[in-house]
Amino acid sequence: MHKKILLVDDDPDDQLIFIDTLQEIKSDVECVTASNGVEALEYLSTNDAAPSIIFLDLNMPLMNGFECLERIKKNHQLKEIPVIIFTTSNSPLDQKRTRELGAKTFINKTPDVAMLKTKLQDILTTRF
Amino acid sequence: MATRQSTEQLLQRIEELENRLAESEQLIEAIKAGEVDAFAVNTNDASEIYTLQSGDYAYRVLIEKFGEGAVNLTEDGLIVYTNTYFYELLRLPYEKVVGTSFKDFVHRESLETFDALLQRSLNGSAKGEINLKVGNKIIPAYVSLTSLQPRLATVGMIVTDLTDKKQSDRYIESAALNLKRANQQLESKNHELEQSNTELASFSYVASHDLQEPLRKIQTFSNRILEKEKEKFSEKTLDYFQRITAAALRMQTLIEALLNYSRTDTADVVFKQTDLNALVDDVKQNLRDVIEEKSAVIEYANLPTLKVVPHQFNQLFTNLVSNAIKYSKPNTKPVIKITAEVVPVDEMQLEDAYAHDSYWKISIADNGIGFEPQYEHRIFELFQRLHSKAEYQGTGIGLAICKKIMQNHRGFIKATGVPDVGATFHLYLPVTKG
Repeated sequence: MHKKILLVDDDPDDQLIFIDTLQEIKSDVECVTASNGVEALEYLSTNDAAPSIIFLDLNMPLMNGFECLERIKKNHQLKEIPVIIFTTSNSPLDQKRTRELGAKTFINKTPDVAMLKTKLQDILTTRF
Repeated sequence: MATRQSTEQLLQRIEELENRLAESEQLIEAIKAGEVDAFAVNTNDASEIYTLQSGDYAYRVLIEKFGEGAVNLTEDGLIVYTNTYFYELLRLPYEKVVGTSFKDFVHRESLETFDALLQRSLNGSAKGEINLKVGNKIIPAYVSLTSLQPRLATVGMIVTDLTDKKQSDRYIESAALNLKRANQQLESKNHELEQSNTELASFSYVASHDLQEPLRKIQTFSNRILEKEKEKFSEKTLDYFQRITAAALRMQTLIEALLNYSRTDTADVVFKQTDLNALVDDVKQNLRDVIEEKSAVIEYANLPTLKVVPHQFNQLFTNLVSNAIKYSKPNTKPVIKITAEVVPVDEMQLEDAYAHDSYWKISIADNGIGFEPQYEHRIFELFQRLHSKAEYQGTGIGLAICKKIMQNHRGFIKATGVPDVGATFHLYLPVTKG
């Protein structure tokens, strides 16, 4: 089975850190990136092989993470894909709102790389 | 025969008649002069007392000397009597006023009003405002007309000069207008101030929030490098790198404190009755690591229950207690005493006391390094520090937050310090009724 992850994040530094960390854990996972909600939905609608997990930033231009999440969960073809929020926000309100919209997990972006590694590892082990 | 009277008898009769005429004339003079209140007339050996209708001398003097115009008009409006005040008001002699129609002195724009008042007064009384005209001058007047029917076919009228009153009214009006304008200006200034405060708060919030992003990147990539390449570093490089991460951490602390400061007046502000004993218990629990590390003793009892914003007061006491521990003397166990009392406002001698009768004064006293009295205001300013970072760590924001929290509670904070003896922080909160 082809292992594919979609990362939706407009920050190239965060993309880099994410991909590097991912590679250290599982080098056979393909990571596709989109830099906002519009790009993400475009990718999801044009590609037959859907990603196994979507990592979604909240604060993005054009279409933010909330709206993107809502649209994914309303789409019958996409709604089963687990969405994990990956954001700098540590607001409980944002956590609550994304959970209500159907996001599975909430990962806070911190300088703690080791923590990100552990969390990613947990998620990937259960999924793949 | 009765018709054939002697000359002597006729002369006697003339003399009698002349005497009676003289008496009558004297009486008339006396009546004119107002000296007669009543007189008796002898008829058939029985005397009858007559009082005079116009004999009330006291009233006549009163009317004559009255401080307002008193006028008697015929039902057509002809003036039959005026007191001194009124003809002087018209600047005319008595003779030129009496016999003239009152309407000649009424401004043409008030003629209709006056006619209506006069007509109405014939059935009783009427009151109203009219304008009199005296030469080129207009005199606003209040007139009160009363019919003197059925005794006399005239109308009595009291005229009040409203010139002064109108003038005062105009002054009051213009003063009220000025006051209204000043209030409007004040309101708009207040609005501007509120707006700029909100802008400032959101600016510092956004600024510190956005400052966190690049900092997080510095920290993240530094961590990555340390994690991966640490072994390859020379001792010097490792030292430099650790200084970079330490500086970044300090910056993070600063930004977080600044965010905290800007949130202090924007975030959820809900006042609740809060037992300060329980609140200090919580604060002690939060600070237990530093308290244990320094073996600090915190003494408090019988603190009041006050209506405050709980999380702000938690922050306030956390900042003050942790400050007291931080600025303790080396090799001296920190002892912090928290006490509370109610003080009347006039005993406080504080220039910024608000209009409240009394205040809760909560004091947090320590036995630490204290400070020079000259710094008692400066320590509450943002980013003001009295010590180098090497001596004591701190952001210079903690006490500024305390000041802001007290302002949010309509209170204030004061500090007194004695070097090497200790510092005491006083929190003043207005005592609210009910």
